[in-house]
Amino acid sequence: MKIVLDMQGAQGDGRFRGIGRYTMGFAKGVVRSRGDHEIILALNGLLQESIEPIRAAFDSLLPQRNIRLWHSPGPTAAMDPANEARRSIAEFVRESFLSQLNPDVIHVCSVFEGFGDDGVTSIGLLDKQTPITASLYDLIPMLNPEEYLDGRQSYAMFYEKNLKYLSRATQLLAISDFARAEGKAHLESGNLPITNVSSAADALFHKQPASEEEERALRQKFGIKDSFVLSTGSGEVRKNTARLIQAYAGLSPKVRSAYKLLIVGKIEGIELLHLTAHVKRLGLGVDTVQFAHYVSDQELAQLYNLCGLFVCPSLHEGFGLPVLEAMACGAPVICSDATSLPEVMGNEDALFDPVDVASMCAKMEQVLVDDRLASSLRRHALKQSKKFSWEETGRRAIEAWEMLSKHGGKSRPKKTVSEAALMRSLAPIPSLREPTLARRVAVCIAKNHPGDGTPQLLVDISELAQRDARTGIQRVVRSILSEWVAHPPPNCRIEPVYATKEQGYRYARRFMAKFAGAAGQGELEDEVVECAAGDVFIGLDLQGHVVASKRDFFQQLRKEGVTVKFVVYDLLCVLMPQYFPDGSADDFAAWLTVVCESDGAVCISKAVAEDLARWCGQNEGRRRRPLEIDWFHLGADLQNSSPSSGRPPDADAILQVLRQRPSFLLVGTLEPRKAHAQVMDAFELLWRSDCDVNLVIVGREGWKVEELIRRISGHDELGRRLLWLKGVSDAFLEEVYSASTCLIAASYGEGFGLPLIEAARHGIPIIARGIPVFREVAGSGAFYFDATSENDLAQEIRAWLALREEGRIPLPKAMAAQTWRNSAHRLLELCVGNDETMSHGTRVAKGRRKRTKAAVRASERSAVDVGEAQ
Amino acid sequence: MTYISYAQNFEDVMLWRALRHVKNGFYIDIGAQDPVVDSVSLLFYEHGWSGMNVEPTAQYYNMLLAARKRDTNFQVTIGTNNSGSTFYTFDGTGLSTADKETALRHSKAGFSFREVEVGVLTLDSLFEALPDDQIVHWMKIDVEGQEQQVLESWVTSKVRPWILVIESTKPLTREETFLAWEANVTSKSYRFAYFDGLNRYYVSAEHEELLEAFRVPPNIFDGFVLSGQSSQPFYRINELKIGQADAKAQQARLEAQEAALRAQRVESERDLAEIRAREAETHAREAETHARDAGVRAKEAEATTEQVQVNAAQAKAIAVQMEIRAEQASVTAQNAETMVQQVTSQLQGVYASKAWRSTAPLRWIAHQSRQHLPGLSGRTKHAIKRPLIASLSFVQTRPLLKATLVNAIAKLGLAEQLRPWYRGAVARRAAVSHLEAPRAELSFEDMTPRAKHLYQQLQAAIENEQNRNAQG
Repeated sequence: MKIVLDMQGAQGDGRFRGIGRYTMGFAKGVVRSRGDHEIILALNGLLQESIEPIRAAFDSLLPQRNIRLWHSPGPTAAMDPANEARRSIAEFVRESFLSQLNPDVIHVCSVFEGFGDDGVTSIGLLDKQTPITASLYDLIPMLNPEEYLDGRQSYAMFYEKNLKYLSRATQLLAISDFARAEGKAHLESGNLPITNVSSAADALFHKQPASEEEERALRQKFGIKDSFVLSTGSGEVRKNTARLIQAYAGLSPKVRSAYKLLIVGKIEGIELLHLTAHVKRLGLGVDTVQFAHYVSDQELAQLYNLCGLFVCPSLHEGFGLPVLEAMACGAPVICSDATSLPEVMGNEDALFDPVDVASMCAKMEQVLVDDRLASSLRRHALKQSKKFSWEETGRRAIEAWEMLSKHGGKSRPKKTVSEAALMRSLAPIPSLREPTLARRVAVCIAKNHPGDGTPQLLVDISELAQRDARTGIQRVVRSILSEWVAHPPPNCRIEPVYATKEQGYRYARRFMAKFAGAAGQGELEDEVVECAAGDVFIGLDLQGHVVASKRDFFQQLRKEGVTVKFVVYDLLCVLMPQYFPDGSADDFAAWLTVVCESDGAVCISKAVAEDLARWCGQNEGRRRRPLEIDWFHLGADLQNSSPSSGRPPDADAILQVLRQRPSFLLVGTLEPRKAHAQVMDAFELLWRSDCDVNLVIVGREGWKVEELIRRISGHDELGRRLLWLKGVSDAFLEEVYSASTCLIAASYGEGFGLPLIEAARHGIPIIARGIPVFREVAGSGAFYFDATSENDLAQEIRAWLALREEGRIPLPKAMAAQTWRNSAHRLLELCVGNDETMSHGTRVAKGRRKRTKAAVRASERSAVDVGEAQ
Repeated sequence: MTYISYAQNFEDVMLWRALRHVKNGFYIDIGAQDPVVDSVSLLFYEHGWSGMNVEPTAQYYNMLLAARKRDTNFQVTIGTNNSGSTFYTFDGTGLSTADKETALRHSKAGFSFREVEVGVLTLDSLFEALPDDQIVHWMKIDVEGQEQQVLESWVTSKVRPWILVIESTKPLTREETFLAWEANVTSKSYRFAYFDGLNRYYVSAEHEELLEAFRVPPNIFDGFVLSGQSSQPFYRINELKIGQADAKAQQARLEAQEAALRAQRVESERDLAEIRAREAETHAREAETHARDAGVRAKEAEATTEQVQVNAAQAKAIAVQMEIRAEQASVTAQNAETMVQQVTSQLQGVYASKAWRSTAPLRWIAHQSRQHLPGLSGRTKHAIKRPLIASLSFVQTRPLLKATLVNAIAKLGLAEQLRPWYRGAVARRAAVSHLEAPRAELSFEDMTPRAKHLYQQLQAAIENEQNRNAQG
């Protein structure tokens, strides 16, 4: 059975109040008790702020793709008559969305949403087939119109309309037996089936004495030195707070001097004035009755635990959650015998007549003087509160839905509301003749009902598609993309996309036509990207400023249910800013911030993954769900990355020099991070002490190396024992490798270490600085050093030469070079999951499956669990 | 130590100078208005003080409720028992008052007000709501002309604020009013300490040592910085500097601001046009009457003199002309209305913005309280006011533009009338501070293929519907 829960009760103005709490508890209970049923949570896209908290709350309970958003143009709040048309549109659009999820039953957690906010709940306007149930809390406004409806015309109209929707439901799920009876007695359609599914308290409310320190803080905050009687109020008449104060005033002086009265809840303005005046009139000292307006759930739980007595004098409740919460905390509780409260209390002895002040007072006095009675109430409280749990409520709800589908399911051939039907319903709304609104509606419906069901893998290739900086990263993008185009996965559509700082993401159709060699075949449009829950976005290319400018967009994608991930090549720019052009660290950090707010990062080595986990741990992010950090290795097979060819004219002369004496090779762009200067210093020492060796530097001039260049260009040994090969082709580099004795990898920091793999392929030994990424790539196949000075390094090279004499140097034998094919496949797997249907193509080396998973939540930022070494 | 001053005329600086030695002191702010903009008490609140705010305007009262968790807030006016309990609310301005005369004066200046029944407390009973032995360190009274009534309601209470700050000029003028009530203050053993051009300060006899603090006006040794949020013109240079940084962003929003201004202009044009149309109609009717009279007389005279006939013909011609002019005027009025509607719909984008939504609870509360009030209906004027105010806050955050506007307004001689309206708008900005740019017109090209398809489907359905209606 497919069950859709309309979650707006936990989204609007009421999300921090009782209905919001009930909705979350109820939905979690249903999800936990779902068995084989499929649960979908439907969220209103207009109530933005609530979406990420709900996704985070269900993160470990329900796959994110089961949380779906619907959209309609806002604002729609009913209190403003100007929203009328948009509200009508939203009602149709929402019903059509819910229907197209093809549910067996829809449950509306709260029907009375959208007066002051943009909630929209209707029942049976468009979808007249799907069974719809709704939660029934109480009919308090309907039964007490003088306090809640009279003189508030637009609220009264709103209430009445939604009451009509409520009675159109197939069945109601009441929060208590009393609410059920109230519905039966007062709702117009008297034969509407109503089931009690009950309610429960959040697990936060349990018996746990506060620590001494917490208690001191609590007492200081609320100004209570001694024992106290606790109650909750809201300023509404039905909460009966005035009589409670009167009853308190009637306690014997001895008891009253021992216990203060603390009333928790939002009582303000004129109501507060009335109550304070009331306190004074009764001759009570100002500090004997305290009002606490703003109390967090944690504090409330502590207060329940700490109080000498909890009193609920309410005249009318649908359930009476505070009573249950206080009991779950093991407080002695007495309450009014009105409406639902006796059912929650389950103990005749703890009840009083709420309009009879004397009865209330006597009951309070009794508990406060009789310790045995108090402790028996405490025992009862804990026992009674066990009878209510969200799992139980969830089970009861599911039972009701199962019955419903059993009875109604067979005869009715199910049909979803068609797009045409939706359009027909919308057509008579006059405001839609205005094109802007009509377009907004169309855009919303398109989002609500994505076209074909194939998930997309949106691959960001912004740099490659628009400019191609031809750095190593674009080489990676090219290679991975070629593999994915050549071997498309069966379960998703690869869709390369690009964006600019000014424009949003579009499909890179024109570029791909060229890339795949199909240019000129028909007119291709770079359309605006359209995405849906279940799609995956992977930031493969690196255009930091573009990504940083789309920070909110990526959050929006995540709210929609799109998984957003980024490939991270290295963090050197922020970890070693001294080696980079000034200011680049800030830009890079802006990009990293976006990465850390996403769903996951795929790093190009385990070392980078560890760096990232550390960085995320140190940098506060706006994240509520965990960030998944994985890693994979890049391909190293040259033939699959379009190698360049060509030989310099003096190629043979160069190779001859290399073969004359031991040649040490440095490969990579000349920049401070690669430690060319330190190596030069070391070799000068070696040359001066008659050590006859060559130093061969391969690489272009980078940044911040003017001094180094001057030094090389004017060096005595240049052209003799010092060679600088500035712009060699891939092909000639191969020859240089073959003619060299050893590769020196001296860099202070790298994302990967491609030269090590290349050296290994040529079987030449490696001297490498002992940084994590080199150890990860070369394992035991290299000679490591940790030189801080040129002397150390010269020593190490001499030591290596001595070992070589003895034939004892480590050889790079078993370094498993990854192919681009494997690499691309692994990345795909990390993006879209390793669905069985996908693993037919290429087998992935087993050792590479380990994940570095960093559970970097805002709250537990230190919990970084790094997977074992491969 | 540097601290931030929020008050409009350095009232908080002066009070802070006198009372900075008091830890967690207590204030009473009568006519508290906005919790931030021009607030005298915010500086103190930020330094751990608390107190009572009295503010009859629902809008400000709700803002106070939300912003001042430690304070006690009352939505009442203060006055003698026999003074009327009617409060005259000028929506979105700082002009609201309990003084009928003041209200009528403003209404003559073109502001419309609503009469609201609010509770009236005497100062005595307000003091009574204080916890026993509560020391009040300062009390400010800024009630737009009602100062005398407030002071007269203080008869029996023994509560003695150390310092009193009382607005002593007629609202929006320099005319001093203190003669009417100063005797009342001094008879309570308060000594005049200082006049700052707007308010008079008094120190209680028991704390004469505080007089010393009022020897000199606010100066650099007070070590304060301006919040930049006050409504007074001399704060503007502050914003000007901040604003230069985002001059670029301002450019982008200029259109929205212009739209707001246009709407404002169009509204007044429409009003003018309406008046002119009405006048023209009257003229036409009069002319018609004349014509009829003339006709009758013509008949009576039976063509005795040609002169009469000529007169009648002329009168008729005038009548026709007048009718044509009336028609033209009403067309102009209609055009104006259409433009107003267009601007309104552009500004709907503002409604869709995050900030607008995030203030929804506030507006809901405001709405709730408005629900109790009679005489409020969704007139066009009212509907357009909110988007206007929202867009004005763009102006407020763009100092360069604001300076230009202020200049223009001054030249037009409108400053006096616009200031309260502007002040109200600025006050709202506190709640709508992160306002996003209005949603740009959604172009067809920016839609996804599926959305384009659905849009066409919707258009087709609408056309169908129209055809069906035309046939049926």
